[in-house]
Amino acid sequence: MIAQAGTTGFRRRRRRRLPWHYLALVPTTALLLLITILPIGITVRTAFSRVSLAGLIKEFVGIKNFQAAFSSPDFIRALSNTLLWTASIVSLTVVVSIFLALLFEKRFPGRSLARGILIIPWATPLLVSAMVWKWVLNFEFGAANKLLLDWGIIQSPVYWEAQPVTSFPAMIFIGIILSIPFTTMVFLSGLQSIPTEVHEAAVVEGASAVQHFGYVTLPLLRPSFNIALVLNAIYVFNSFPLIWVFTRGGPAHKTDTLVTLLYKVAFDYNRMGPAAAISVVSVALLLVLASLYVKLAMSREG
Amino acid sequence: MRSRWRVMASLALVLALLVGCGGGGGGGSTSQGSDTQSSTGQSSTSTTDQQSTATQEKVELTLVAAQYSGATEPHWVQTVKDFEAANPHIKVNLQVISWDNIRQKVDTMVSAGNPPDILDLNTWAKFHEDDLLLPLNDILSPELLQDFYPTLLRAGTASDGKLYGLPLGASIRGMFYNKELFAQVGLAGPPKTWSELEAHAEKLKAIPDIYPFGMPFDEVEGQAYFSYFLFGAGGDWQTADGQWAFSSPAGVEALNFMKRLKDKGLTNPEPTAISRDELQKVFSSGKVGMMMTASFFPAIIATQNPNLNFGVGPIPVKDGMPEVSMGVEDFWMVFNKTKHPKEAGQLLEFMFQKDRYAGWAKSEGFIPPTKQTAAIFMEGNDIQEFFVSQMPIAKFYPLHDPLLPQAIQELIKHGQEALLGQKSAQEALDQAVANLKQ
Repeated sequence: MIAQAGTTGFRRRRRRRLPWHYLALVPTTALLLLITILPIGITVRTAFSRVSLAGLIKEFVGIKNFQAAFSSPDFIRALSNTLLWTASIVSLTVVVSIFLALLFEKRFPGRSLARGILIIPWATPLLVSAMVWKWVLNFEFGAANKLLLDWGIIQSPVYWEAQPVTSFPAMIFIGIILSIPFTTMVFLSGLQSIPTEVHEAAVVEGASAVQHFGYVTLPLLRPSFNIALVLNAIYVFNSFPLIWVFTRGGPAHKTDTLVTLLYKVAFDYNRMGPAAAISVVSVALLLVLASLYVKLAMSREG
Repeated sequence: MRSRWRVMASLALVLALLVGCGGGGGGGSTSQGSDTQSSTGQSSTSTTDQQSTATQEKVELTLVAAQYSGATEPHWVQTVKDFEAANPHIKVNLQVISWDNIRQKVDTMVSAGNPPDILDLNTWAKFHEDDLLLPLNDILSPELLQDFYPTLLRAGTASDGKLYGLPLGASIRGMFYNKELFAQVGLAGPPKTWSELEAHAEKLKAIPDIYPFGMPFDEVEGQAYFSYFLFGAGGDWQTADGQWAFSSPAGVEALNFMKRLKDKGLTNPEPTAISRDELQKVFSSGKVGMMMTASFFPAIIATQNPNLNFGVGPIPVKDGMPEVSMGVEDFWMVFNKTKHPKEAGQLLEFMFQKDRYAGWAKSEGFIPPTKQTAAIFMEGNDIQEFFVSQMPIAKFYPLHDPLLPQAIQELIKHGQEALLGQKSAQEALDQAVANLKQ
C-alpha cells in the first residue's frame, strides 16, 4: 500500500512538471538547430541555387549544380577514391586493432607504458602527424626510402607523392596507422567488459584458442565492433588534412577524395553551387551507408 | 535484449555524429554555412555604428587587412592609431586576418551583406562582377593616382575603364642562380634566352646531387612557371578583347619546352610534386643551379642560409623575343556599401604616405606600387633596384577577369597531365580553355 501510494504521488508530481522538462531542453535544441540543422539547410539551399563568384546566393536552378558536379570526371574519380580510401583503411584498421587489443589485454611487463605509447599518435593533431609522415616519406631526406634501400626492398629511392600508384597506398598506410590507436582503445574497453566467467567457462569446456576467440570473444565484442566500424568510417570518409598535406589531391586531381575535391571546387575554383552539391551528396552517402550497416547489424541480432 | 539496446544506442550515436559531421562539412564548404554567427555579430556592430553617428557624429570605418607576416599587424595598429589621432571624428575597426582564413571570412561577410569598407586581397574582379565595389577614381586624388606604376594600375582597372583595385604592392619574378655552382662549370651569368637556359642546365648537370634547373608545377602555383614561358614565347593568357588564349602556339611551345627540360633530366625529378616554397628551401641549401621565383626571395634566403652566394637575372625569353617580366599583385578595394566613401579615401591617402608605406613594404618584402615609395624602398639594394627596373615590362595575370581562379586551376590540372606525359601539350591546353567556355 505504501509503495503504491508513493508511486501514484510521484506520477502526479511528474505530470505537473512536464512543461518544465521541455523548457530545460530549449538551450540544447536551440544550439543543435543553430550549429547543425541550420548550416545543413543553408548548404542544401546553396546546392540548388546559382551562386555568384563572390558568394551571393542568386536564383533557384534546380539540379543544375548536381549535374555540373556529376558530369566532371574528377567527381567520379573522387567518389571511387573515397570508397576505396574508406573501405581499405577501416577494414584493415579493425583487423589489426582487434589483435592489438588482445595483445594489450594480456599482462606483460611494461604494459602500461606500451598502452601509453599507443595513445600518443591519437593525441597528436592530425595535421602534425601528416606533416611528420610527409617528411618520413620525403624523396631525398626521408627515413622510409633510406630504410627500404638498406633492407634491399627497393633499388632506387621512391618519389612517393609523385604518382597515385605510390601516393595513394602510402596515404592509406598512414591512415591505418593513425586510426589504430582509437580503434584499439574501443576494442580494449570492449574486451574488459566481457565477464571473466565466460572466459573461464570456455576454458573449462576445453575450447581451443581459435574456438575461444571465434565463438566466445568475437561475438561478445560485437558492440565495440559496430562502434569501431561506423565511427572510423565517418572519420576516414571526412578526413581532410592527411591528403591535403601529402598530395593536395594531385597530381591532376588523381588522389582527391570527395572532401578535398569539394574544398577545391569551393575555394580554388570559386564555385560554391557545385561544391554545396558535392557536400550534400557526401552527407547523403554517409547516411545511407551508415543506416544500411545499422540495419544489417540489427537484423543479425534479431 | 542488452545487446539490442547497445545497437540502438550506437545507432543514435552514429546519427548524431553524422549530423554533426555533415554540418561541419557543410559549414566549411560553403561560405554561407557559417554566416549566421558572424552576421549577428556584424549587425550588432552596424547598430552601434548608427547610434554613434547619431549621437556623436562619429564616423566608423572597417578595415580588413591580410596578414603577410608578423610585421603586418603592428604596422596597421600604428597606422590606424596615427590616423585616428589626425582625424578625431573617425574611428577605424581594424581586422588583420591570416591568408589561410581571409577568403572564407570575406566571403562570409560579403554574402551576409556586411562587407568591410576597405579590404586588401589578391582579387577584386569577383566582387566587381557582383557590382559591390566603388570606383576609386572618385575618392582618390589625381596626384596619388598619377604616382602609381601604370602597369600595376592596369591590372586593377575593369573594362569600363574605372579603377576598382588599387595596387597594394607587387612581387616581380626573376631568375635566381647559384653563383658557386655556376662558377664550378665555368658559367658567367644567368641565361637570357631559352637556348641559353637549356645549355646552362646541361652544363650544371655535370655536378652530382643538384637540380640544374628548379621547376615547381604543383597545385599551389604551377601557373606561375607556365606564365614565365608563355610570356617568354610572346603569348598571353587572354587576347586583347578578353578571350582565353593560353592554348595558343606560344602556350603549346611553353608547355612543350618545360616538358623537354624535365624529360632530359635537367629539372627536379617530379615538378608536379613540389611547391615553390619547398624548392626555394632546396635552392637556399645550395642544391639548385637556378630557379625562377619572386622578388621577396632574397629576404627568405637571408633567414634560411645567409651565406648563399646567389645572383638574379631576368626571365629568359624564347630566342629572338623581346625581354619580358612577370609580376604578381595584390589590391586595396572599397565596397560601395560603405556609408563613408570620402573618409575611406582619406584613410587610403593617409596609408600611402611614402615613408610609412615604403617602411611597410620593406618589412614585408614586396615592391611598393608608387614610384616615390619604390624609390625609397630600393635605395642601396641592388637586387631590389633590378626588380623595380623590370616593373615597366612586367606582365600580369588577367586579374580583371573573375574567371581567373578557375582558369588557373584548369591550367594546373591539365598542364600536370601534359608534364606527366598523359596528354599532349596541345590537348591539355585546348581542354583547359574549353572547360572555361562552358
